[in-house]
Amino acid sequence: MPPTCPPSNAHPSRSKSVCRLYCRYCHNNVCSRGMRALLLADNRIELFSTDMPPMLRIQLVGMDYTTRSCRCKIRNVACLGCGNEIGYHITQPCSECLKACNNGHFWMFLTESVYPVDLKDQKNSALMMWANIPQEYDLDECVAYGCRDTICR
Amino acid sequence: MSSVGMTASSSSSSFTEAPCNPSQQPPPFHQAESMNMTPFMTNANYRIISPVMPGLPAWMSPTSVSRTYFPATLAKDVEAEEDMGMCGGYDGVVDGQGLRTEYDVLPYEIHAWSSHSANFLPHNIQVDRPHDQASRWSTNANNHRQYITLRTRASSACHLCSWALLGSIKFGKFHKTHVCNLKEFKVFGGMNQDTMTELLYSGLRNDNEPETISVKQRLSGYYIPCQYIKIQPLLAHDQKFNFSVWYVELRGTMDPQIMQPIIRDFEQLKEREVVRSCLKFFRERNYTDAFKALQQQSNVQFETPLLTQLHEALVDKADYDRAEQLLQRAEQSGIFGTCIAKIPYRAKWGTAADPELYPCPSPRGGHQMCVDSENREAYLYGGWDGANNMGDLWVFKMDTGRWTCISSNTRDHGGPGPCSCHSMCFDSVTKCLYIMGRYVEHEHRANIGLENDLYCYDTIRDETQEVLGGPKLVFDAQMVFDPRFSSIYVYGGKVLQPNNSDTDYVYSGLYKFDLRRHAWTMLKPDAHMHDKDQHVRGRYFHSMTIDPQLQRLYVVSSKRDVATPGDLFIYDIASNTFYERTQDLMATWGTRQPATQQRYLAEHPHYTTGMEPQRTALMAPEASEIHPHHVHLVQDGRSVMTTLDTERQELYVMASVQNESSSALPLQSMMSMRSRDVMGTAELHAAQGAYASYSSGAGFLPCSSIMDSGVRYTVSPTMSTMRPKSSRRDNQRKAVEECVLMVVLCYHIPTETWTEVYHSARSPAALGMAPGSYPSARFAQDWVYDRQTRKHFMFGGNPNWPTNKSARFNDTWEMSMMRPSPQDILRRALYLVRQRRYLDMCAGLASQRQPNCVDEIKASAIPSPNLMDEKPEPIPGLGMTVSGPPTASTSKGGTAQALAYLQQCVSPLVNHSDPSESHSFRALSTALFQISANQSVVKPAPSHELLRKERADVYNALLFYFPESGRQPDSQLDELVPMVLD
Repeated sequence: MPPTCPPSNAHPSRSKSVCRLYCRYCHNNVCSRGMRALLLADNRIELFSTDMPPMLRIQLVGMDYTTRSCRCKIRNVACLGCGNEIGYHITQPCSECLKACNNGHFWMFLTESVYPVDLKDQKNSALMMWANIPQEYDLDECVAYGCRDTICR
Repeated sequence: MSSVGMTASSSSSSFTEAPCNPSQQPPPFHQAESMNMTPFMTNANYRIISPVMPGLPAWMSPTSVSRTYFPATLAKDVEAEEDMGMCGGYDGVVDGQGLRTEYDVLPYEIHAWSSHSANFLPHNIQVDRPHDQASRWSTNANNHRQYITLRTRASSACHLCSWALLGSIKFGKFHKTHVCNLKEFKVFGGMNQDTMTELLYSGLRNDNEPETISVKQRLSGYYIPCQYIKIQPLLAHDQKFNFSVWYVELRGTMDPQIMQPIIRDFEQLKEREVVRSCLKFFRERNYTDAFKALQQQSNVQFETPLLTQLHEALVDKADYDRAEQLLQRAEQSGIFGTCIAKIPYRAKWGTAADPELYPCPSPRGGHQMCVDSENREAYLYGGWDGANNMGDLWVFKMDTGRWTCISSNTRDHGGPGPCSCHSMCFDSVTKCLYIMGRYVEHEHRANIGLENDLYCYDTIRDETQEVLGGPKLVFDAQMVFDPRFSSIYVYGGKVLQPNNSDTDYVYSGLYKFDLRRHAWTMLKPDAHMHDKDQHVRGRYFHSMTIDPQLQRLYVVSSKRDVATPGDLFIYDIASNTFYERTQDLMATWGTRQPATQQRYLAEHPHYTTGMEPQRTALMAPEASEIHPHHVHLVQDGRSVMTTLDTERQELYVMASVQNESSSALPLQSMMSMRSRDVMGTAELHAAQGAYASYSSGAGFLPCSSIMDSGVRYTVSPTMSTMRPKSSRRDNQRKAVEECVLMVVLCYHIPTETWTEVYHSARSPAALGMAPGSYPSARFAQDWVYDRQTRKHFMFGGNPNWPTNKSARFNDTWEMSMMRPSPQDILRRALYLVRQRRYLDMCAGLASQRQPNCVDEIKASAIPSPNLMDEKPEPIPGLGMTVSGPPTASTSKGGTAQALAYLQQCVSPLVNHSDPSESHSFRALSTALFQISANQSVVKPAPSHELLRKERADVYNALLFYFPESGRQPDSQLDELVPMVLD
């Protein structure tokens, strides 16, 4: 994990459940550390986010762009299975979004493009929470440069 | 008036490949090579665009189904065309002559496929649903083993009916860009799955527009019948993704009446080629009886009789005198004509007008010239002299080289007045000049009207009149006249807008002005620059020329690197269809640089004696060093001009660009100027036309080719500071520093090959030799082509001198395009033979034979290559045979004999000023030492087989000078037969 990340135990997102995300088009598993989230710029928009994208399953496509809602620079993310755009990556967050209460995730998946499957804790078959994800969990899937690219502050 | 209906009478005159020298009779076996088909309609790699024309009334717009006709040029010339031209479209007029079939959509089924992922099943490609992301075939891997095989489906039970001639493939796409789109793919076709011919190697753009791409239809002049069509994806637009094909529509014909003869011919072709390959193999391996028997029984024409004799003399009997005799006979019968026609031209420049004899127009750039072919006159109008626009009209007599001023300012006679960057064309029917458009400085745009005006100057009655209407006011547009339908076509150029902001650029489309009805028609809408694709396609550094007989417009655009050919659009007037030559990916595998005469002749024929050193050293500095292939910016002066020789079917393109090394200073000034909205005319002309492609936001957008558009060029401060450094180094290296690169390219339309005629940085002048005999490189010049003498006349231009930005030229140059003469080919051929003979001598073999004396050969047939461009002088040694000591087999005698032969017979055949020739000649002398080596160490003489093989190599090398249709096949049978081991 990058050292710049905020101490995760202080974060409210620790109490959220972890879900696997699947591409709606080709049913590829595109993320194993998904979190239900709301868009900072527009609370009505629901999406999924992650801190560590599995770069073997997804790929950044196209060029950076900005939307109307904020000044973050973002780039689309496509599923490597079908090539469809299923989300985006914040390549350069804007100051407003950084100041706001964010979950520190810079990889977003759209609800219309992915569906979640909640993860169960193997010991007590309860929902797995972000607070108790095993450290090594999914780290093998996470290509090193994908992590370092993420600016977490 | 152009509309769909006129298709029937279109492009009527079928042309044949013009022999290089019209006075020469083509050899009898040449006929098979003649091209009687329009190339772009039957050749692979053309993107076919039939635009819906918003400018036309609904009843005239083309049907949604684009039509292509097969074969395209069989229609005969119809007299009634004149009327049709006047009255507009006759829908569905089909003349009964010849074979003429519309391409149909071919029904097909999915026969096999490599893999698929998720629910992206192969059958999805049969339906076109651009809004459904699932409506596609997608592979589950992105390696080169992916394919999908389609099989044309017969409508009836007859199995012959399922064979088709494929014309084009339409690829549908998703409604927005998709990374899985095919950036590179191949298409194969054939009658069974095992033997397929490559029909296409191309790529799709990553956009939402369906693309129709023509496929290769013919193999050695015969149509390829297909039942199976295999599409092999090679690369997706993002290479990490799998491949997706959204929709495939096959177009072609399955008409049994057409297909039966095609299949029959194709089967015959196959059999004939197999027999010919066998014959070649048998002869090579000296299976004389088998060779004779097969030749007799099959009755296949193996090669022209002369070559058979040559083979017998040279390879079988080692009778060099007879071989030389046969080569001389070949030269006399004009056989070398086909070979010469393939050799690239070399430019020969000369001054066309002497300013001391007659007055010349004053120096200028950005002027326009056009030609009156009948009277051999060129007109010159307007231009920019470095400070002001000019409005004078001049005429140039090509035969006398005399300029005459018609009007010192046309405004006095009701003309357009001073202007530059306008467009002009000559009406050869009514002898009128038409002038349109001009550049208006930004600061003046608000004050004057920006209506377009078309002026007509009657050269006979000497009066000017004004015609109103038409496209918007543009500058740097292209204008051509169609004498057949008395129309003017105007294409491209940038629209002048009153409040010119950086983001809103409009490029003019294609317009037609009917001179008899005085009416404009829009054939292709204007392109807006904010559309990124349009920006790439609708750039205005292009030039247009017309072939009135074939009713076709050629639009050539220039690339960043002017020495490589740009994109080519062909607009078929009759069918209102654009054919865009897509980048031939095959060609990019090799060198991108077109061949030059020097390089071509140095590389061919592929034959080495084993004596020659590596050629690479000779090919040394060239392209990469002088004109590096790295980042160019749009901020440079450039011009492109095209002329057409309808007889030879060749396009000549002159392209100039501000040189890399000298662009440092103006580049920086342009960059600092970018913040200012207003840009003076002086700067504009300094970098003429260049500023159009600069936009805000994305920085300097490159005007790259479509395939290259994925590459992003960025301007970084480091780069611009690095430039002057490299330019200083260039200064030291080059003897003459030129600030502009000027290139002349030639495009042979039937064979679709680009060759380089002239390259200012590689000319002798650039190397400090022969100053004054080559024009200084410049841009913003203009040239015209004289069909009678096949010469170009060039006037004026901007040399882009760093010290004097307002300097312009007023010199008149003529450029002829030179090719080697048949005698020169003979010389090269004889050289190969004598080289072999000499090497035989060195090996101590010559003494065994008594050469026959050849008396009948005229020595005057060959001019000596060492007296370039002067009156031919006979080569002393030609026809001379070695009459040395017949039986002397002593080492001394052998050496002397070989040396004498080398000096007297071989050396005169070498052009010693050509580095590659003199190099290979000098290498020959080392063979002399073999003789003494043979003496000291008793080496066994080379075996009979080995010597025969070496002579066969000479024979194979000589074949290069003979037409392909008359010589043995290139294929090697032993390579074709798969090795069945185990």
